[in-house]
Amino acid sequence: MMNQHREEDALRGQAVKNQKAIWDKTLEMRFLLQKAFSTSNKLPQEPIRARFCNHDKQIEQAYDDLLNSSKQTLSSMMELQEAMLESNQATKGANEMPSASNGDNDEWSEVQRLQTRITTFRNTEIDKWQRKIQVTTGAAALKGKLHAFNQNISDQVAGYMRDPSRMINRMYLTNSAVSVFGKDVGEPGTAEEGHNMEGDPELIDDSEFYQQLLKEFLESCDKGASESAIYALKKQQVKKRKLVDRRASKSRKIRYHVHEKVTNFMAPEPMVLPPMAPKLFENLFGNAS
Amino acid sequence: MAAASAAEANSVSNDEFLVRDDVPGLLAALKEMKDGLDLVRGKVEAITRKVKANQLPAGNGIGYLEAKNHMLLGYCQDIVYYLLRKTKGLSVDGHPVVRSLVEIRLFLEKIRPIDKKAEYQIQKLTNAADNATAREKAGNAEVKGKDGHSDEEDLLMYRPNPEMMDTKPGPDGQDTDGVYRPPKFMPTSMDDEEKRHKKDSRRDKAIARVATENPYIKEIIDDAADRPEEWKETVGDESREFGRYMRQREEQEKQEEELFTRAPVTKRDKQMEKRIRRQLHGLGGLTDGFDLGMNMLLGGDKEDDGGSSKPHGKSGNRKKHLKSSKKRKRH
Repeated sequence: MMNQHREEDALRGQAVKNQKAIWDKTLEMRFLLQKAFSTSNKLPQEPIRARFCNHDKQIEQAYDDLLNSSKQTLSSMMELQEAMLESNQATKGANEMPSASNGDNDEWSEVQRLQTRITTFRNTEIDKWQRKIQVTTGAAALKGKLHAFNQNISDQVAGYMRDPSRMINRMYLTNSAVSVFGKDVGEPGTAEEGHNMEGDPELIDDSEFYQQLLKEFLESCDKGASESAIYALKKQQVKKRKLVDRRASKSRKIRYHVHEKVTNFMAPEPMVLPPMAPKLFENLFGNAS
Repeated sequence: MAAASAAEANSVSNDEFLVRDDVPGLLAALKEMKDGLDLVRGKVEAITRKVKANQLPAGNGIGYLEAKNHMLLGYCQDIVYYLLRKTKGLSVDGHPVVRSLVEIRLFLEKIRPIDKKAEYQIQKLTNAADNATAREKAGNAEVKGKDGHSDEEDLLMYRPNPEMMDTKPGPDGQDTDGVYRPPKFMPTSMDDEEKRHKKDSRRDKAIARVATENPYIKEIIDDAADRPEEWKETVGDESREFGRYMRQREEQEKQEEELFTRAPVTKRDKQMEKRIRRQLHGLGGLTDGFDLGMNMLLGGDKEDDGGSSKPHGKSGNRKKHLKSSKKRKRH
């Protein structure tokens, strides 16, 4: 009876460890993509891009290589997500949608299909765990108040996404912040200046979110490492005590305190009294008698 | 017309200058991006191989973590698709990829409190897996060595376990065999005659002590017995210590008179007498002129009502003081 529960928990724990391993790998992907994501904002758009390609053959070749690499990376990521969906029983029920084969938006159609497939599972799981944690922490007592906070997370996000312009505008970069290749930023002009102050819809950045993910990752690493490191140090550390003669105190041993040599020391010599001393002493008290 | 054509040529020439200047930077940027994507693709393919070979089984895990993994992977896909559009030189304004990035980011930000609160349960399951692995190794070692039962402390044994509960007995509370078993009572103590006698004697002693020590009760009893009133030297109520001391001195005086011997006075008695005399709050001066101590003075006041049996003093000085200190009232 106890062994049965132990076995179940062991299997579940092993699965949780695997899930955390996959999360760490996915975080690593995200961290590696940040450099390319930042650099992509410097790429020129279509009229200037064509001019670059016409000017130099190497540019055209580099563009073709990058394009192929992007497509292959996206395909491999989608393949990974398919594999994860197939290996998990809970997400197998997600309905399959037929792939619409459009010539222009083929990649985006595939990405959209996968994300639509996991939407129901995602919302269900997140809302379930949110309710579980509310019940555990006693936050359900505030059920009558703070309606905005007590909504499900999926409902909150849906509310935000009805008008996402505010969120999207926060992610814009300005032209002055990014030096796009082939674009002149030295034009002085009032209208251009006003345009530069606002964000450019073509330049997207999420450095804040990236830094949050990185910070969380470092914190979790520090926590795990610090615990094991401290424990290892405690085990290895053997208390060393000073080498002290314990019998020296409490009159157990005779101590010899050697003092300095006595320098400039003379032995006393007997004093030689002068012959007139008796007479001198007689005369001192002679008048009284 | 010629001026306009010249200006246009100048603009085209300026653009050509810009293109020519930025060619090396763009080339380096493109190569860098390609290398980064190739690295990411290699890692992704490695994970895909593991998942397909079922080396990372996650079917029994927590669905919440699975949802998190899918969201982050979707976010990475959106980023790569964004890179693809940028590489093609297409516009991203108004494209759904931006909406998707924002949505997944909102989800991942909103579920951060759930991560922190659920960490304990995840840690517990992870520890269970580690313990299972350690137990397998220990089991292997034991099988090789000897048949020893490992009784290591398992923290998961403190969960509720319905199988351990006893089955409910029959409705009449008796076993099925015919043996009679008497019902169990609480242990009770029987009444005891000896204890009662002891208790009664103790109560009598307490009543007697109250009758002699409590001045109020003593006064009531004396009035009921129609005894003469005593004159007291003190002003106000006597303290318990003073009363006890006086009774002790009276008994001692009586015994000394009967045995015709003087008991030795210890230093402790002298100190006590001095302290009690000091407690009279100024009345100690009344006894300054007398040669004898206060005990003799107070001892002289007490006489039996049966007759006037005075002590036979050997010195005239004693008789003199006894006569002068007689202050008894007669009804």
